[in-house]
Amino acid sequence: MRSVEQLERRLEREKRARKAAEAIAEEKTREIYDTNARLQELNNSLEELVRQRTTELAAARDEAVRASQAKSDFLASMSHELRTPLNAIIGYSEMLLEEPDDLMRPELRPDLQKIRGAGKHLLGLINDILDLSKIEAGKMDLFFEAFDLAALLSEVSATVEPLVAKNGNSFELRHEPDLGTMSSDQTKIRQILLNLLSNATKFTTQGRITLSARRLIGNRVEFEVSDTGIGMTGDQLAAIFQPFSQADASTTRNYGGTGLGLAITQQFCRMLGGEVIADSVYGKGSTFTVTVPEVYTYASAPQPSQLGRQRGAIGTVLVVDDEREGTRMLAEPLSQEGYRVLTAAGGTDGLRLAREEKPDAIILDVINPDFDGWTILRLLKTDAELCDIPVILVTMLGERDMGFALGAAEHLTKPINPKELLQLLARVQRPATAPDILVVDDDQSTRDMLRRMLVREGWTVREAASGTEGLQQLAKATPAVMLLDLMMPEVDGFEVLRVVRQTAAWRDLPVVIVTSKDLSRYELEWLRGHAMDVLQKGAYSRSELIAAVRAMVEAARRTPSRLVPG
Amino acid sequence: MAKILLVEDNELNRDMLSRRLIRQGYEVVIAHDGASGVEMTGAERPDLVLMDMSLPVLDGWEAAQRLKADPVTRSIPVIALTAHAMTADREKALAAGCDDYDTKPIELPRLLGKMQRLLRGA
Repeated sequence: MRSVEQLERRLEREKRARKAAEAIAEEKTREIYDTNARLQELNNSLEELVRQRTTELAAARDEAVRASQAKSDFLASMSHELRTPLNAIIGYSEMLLEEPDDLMRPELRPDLQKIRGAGKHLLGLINDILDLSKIEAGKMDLFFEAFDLAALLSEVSATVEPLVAKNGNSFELRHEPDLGTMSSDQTKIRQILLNLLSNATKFTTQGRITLSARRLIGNRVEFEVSDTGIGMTGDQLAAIFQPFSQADASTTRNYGGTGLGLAITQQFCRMLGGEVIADSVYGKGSTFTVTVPEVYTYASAPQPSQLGRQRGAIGTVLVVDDEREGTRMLAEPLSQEGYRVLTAAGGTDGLRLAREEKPDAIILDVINPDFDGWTILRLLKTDAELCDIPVILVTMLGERDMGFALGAAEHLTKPINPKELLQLLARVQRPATAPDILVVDDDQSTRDMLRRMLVREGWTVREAASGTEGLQQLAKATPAVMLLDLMMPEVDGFEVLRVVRQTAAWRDLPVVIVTSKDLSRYELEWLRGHAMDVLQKGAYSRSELIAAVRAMVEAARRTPSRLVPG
Repeated sequence: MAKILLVEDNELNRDMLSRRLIRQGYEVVIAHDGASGVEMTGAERPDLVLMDMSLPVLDGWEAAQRLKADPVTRSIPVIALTAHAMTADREKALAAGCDDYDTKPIELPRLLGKMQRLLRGA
């Protein structure tokens, strides 16, 4: 009996224990369920928050882009409005100064000079502000061309000579005789040097100002402007490139200038892929050193090993972007255009592919997971094998200067505009495939205009100022297309064309006649038989000319034998 | 002496430039907007046209294009006057067929040099 009782008790105990366990399990399950529900809720609200924040951020960014655009539009139109009355102030004071007879009281002359001087100062200030705001808005255009360094230096020297003489200073220009040419934005380099030199003349009296230039290893050109003037303290030196940072307010009164020249100088240097460094000893003088790439596009001649490489119809592009959607937005227009597109989701892959495939260009999103775009860019630019590959950076607004400083060739902001992307790519690729156009015209302003139009399209341009020079240029290397004026002294366009068509190597050279001559029917027929196209100056539009040249460049590409120099 | 047509809508600029040119011995005729600039070029047959680019009714680019498309006026040289730093304006002016350009504020010796060169060439 005892064992039965014992069994019953044990059953009872076990039952209770199971019930308790079930109760605990149920409670725990409920707890887990509740926790889960709370987590779920939290998660949902987090997601909602993230969505909300993303929308807010996008809106804020759009707002910032709009605001920046509005600011530069405002500045542009404001500076126009400011300039109009200023033109009148300067103009009328000049008119009064022009004719001494108008001045019944010659003692007023110094006052008139002050009015004109102040007007010109104000005008300089407005122009500088406009320049800075354009740089900030990314709207400062660059025009790249090959130019002779020594010629530029002597031209700059001639411009500053009167300024130098003003304070009893002496001037010296120093460089090796064979500096050769560089390919950059000539106007910007000229302005950089003029800014630095005019500063030097302002802060130096009875001293010496030196402009020197030399080539550095690594295809860079160095310009140096030094003076024996008042110099700067360490604090002044530290803030020298900040806008309106002249040593103190009295400096502006004593020495003039807008206080923006050095800020603009630094921005220009960066835009050209270079930098400017200031050095000074207080009381002894200052030295400004500018270093810029000899060729802006990082584009030395293509390596022979690269030429034989298998590539897409028009080249290979590597896209480094961690976002699949971002990659697609970049890759799609490229492959449609005929590029072979390689993609990498991160920096490690990107660098490996760059080494293995040697693409013609790299498009790099700055935000990447394993290392950031800046690091990748630095690694690319410090690798001897990769540093010549042009890199287009995809960045947020305002980071482009950093990109240029680190060696990026071009720069895009999201959202990507496919047309802009292709244009940029064509531009950075120019060195490998740039068809060159020979412009033969005796009128400098026409040559200037044509060159600007053509360079814009990513072509390289050679110029000849006469028929004879045109034929000499042809003999040096056969261009993809020749633009030819008719009315030139001595050897005219008709004669050039006759020679070209009689020379075996140039028989197929596409020639576009650009002329202001009124052509007789006979002349027109003869030209149509000997040239690809005849455009009348003033009657053709820019887009017609570009379209005509592009068609010829492309035709020539399809039959490359045409381009072999004779 | 050569006859110059000045197309300029701003009264002060018009007054200044015309007086300075007259002093230099030029005969100056004036138009206030692009449309009358085109009309007067046909009627007055000046030796040279100085044309501001931002003009009412018909802007300077359009006006220059019309002058250069018309066989009667095509050979008359046109100098475009544009504001500083507006590189695009300058290119547009040349693309519109202008023979030369200069920037405002006018630097008289520079402008006179350009005018003389074009007048000699004509």
